Amino acid sequence: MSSLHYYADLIHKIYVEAELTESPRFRSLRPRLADFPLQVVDSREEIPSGDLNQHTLYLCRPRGKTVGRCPGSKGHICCNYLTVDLYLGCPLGCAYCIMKSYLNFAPLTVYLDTRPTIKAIAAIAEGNRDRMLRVGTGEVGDSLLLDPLFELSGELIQALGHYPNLYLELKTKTHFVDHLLDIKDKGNTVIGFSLNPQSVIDAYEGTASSLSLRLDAARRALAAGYLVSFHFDPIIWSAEQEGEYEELLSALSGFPGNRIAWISLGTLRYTPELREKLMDEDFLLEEFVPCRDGKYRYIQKVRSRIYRRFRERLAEMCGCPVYMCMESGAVWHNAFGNSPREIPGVSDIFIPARGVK
Amino acid sequence: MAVSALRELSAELDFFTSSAAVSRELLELDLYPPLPVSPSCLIWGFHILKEAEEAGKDKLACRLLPDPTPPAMLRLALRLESRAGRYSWLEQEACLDFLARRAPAASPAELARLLSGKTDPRLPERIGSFSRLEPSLKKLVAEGLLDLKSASRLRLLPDSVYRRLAETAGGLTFSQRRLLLSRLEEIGRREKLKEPELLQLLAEALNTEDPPETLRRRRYPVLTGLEERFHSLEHTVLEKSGIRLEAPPCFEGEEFTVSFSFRSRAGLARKINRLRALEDQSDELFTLLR
Repeated sequence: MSSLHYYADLIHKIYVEAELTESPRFRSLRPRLADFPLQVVDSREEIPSGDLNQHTLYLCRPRGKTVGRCPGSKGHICCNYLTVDLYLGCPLGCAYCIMKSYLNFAPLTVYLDTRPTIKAIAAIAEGNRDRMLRVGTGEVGDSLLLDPLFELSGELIQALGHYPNLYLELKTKTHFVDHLLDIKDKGNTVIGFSLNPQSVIDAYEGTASSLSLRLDAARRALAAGYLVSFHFDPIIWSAEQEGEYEELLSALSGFPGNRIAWISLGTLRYTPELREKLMDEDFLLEEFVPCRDGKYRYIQKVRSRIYRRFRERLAEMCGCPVYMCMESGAVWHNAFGNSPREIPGVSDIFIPARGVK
Repeated sequence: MAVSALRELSAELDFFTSSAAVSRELLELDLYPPLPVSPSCLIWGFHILKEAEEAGKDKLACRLLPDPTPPAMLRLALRLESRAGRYSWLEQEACLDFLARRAPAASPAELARLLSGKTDPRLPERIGSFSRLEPSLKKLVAEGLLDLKSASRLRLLPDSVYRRLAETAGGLTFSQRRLLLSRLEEIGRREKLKEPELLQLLAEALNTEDPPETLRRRRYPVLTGLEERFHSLEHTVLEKSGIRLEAPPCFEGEEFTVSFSFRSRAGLARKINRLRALEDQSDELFTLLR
């Protein structure tokens, strides 16, 4: 689905920030965008309200801070991941997506000039040579959905691959990796795949790639020399799905543990605002309770059981670092027997970077 | 104009049910706004006409408007009615319906302003939501027994459920009714209940002291199980001890809290003994959080 036909369906119009049009980056990109209606604007405010949707692309330069910390969640343990916005917004249409509650009426934004981002990441890598740094572009958009068109990830990989302490993660629900396979200096780049059983993908993950396509892409990425990561997030749990998650975990046994950088787990969670938009979704019919950060999660005892099962199965299979995203200290103790800072292999992941606000 | 002649005119704008009453005395003195009429239609003042008929008056002061457009008639009626922000859902629906029938191209924005007294671009959409409700659910909203937002979310409950609830409306608060319906629908969806089963469940709940709580327990069986085990444990170990044991909210967390007071060494010793009994049971207590 990474062909031009795919993008023709996805993108109905492109707006370009005027200051960008003379940049070599845009000029080299221009022939590739020839088939799309394209209009130059001085700023995002000039985009007509009718085009403020996820079928519109807005190409612009990055604004303000280019690297930030994951905002974390009150009362929950954050892995101190660093986030970079290259692609803002996602049109895949996952039913549970938090971005539904705030990005619906916005164009997909592509920060076309990667130089400030690369410079900022490099400075952080220089200042944190004694610790592992994880930086990802998949926080507010899919890292690879638009990447075959714009090839921004490749610029980051090539510019940052030589930092031994830096793990650049490109997280996706697509299988769009082929444009990255021939890059020479991959360093510790990690291609991250969000995984769910096919029934969950069919029901809730919009136009995202199928499970088998994602797993095949992971194999290609591995074969090309990348590290991979897997994210079971959100785990959408029900009695019917339990067996399907077991099967999915078994499918990972074919991946070499030493090439899996990490695996993250996170059960479904939602804010009250998001709930307003999800009223008809059947997954809300499970039992959710409010947690200390105001988000709703499965009952702690239920979550702990789910995570324990995942941890046990993954430990049997691959031995790579496994961690939970935005979970409480209580659940860490229940599922992993300790807090992440005390667990060998996981503790490195959770060390915060210096010099990032 | 003769009252009998006014009755001959079209009454398609007769949809205000809470117009301010005109006193008989003022009516006798002809101290009321002249009734606007078009050649074929009484535009406003149906309540005055009714009162005049009852008072035996045979004429009413009117003002003939030669050829008003439908939006102009509605605008005039609303201005004379002058109850912005206080129209019922049924009145608002009737206004919007009139506009849609007689002037489909007209923008409902001004109508919304006259109805609500402020700029409210989403009012027509809300009135539309009201119009689309099932008849009995609509009745609950029209009678102020349920809010429109909650009602709009209810999609899968059969009309018979709303009828049954309307019969017992007086026994529940607004909030209880809302909770009852939303929980009933969620249970129905999750357990794939059919109409007779839903009615049975509703009847069972309504027979209990706290109907929403009864349905909450069915909607949240795991949480309810934890609560029951906790209360059972607390009852067994600490009954009449004067020690209060609290679990974290929704069993989310890692700490239980005990609190008590004492006024003598012997009293303290008794509390400590009961706490030792609690310690013996604490493994089971902690399983509620794990």
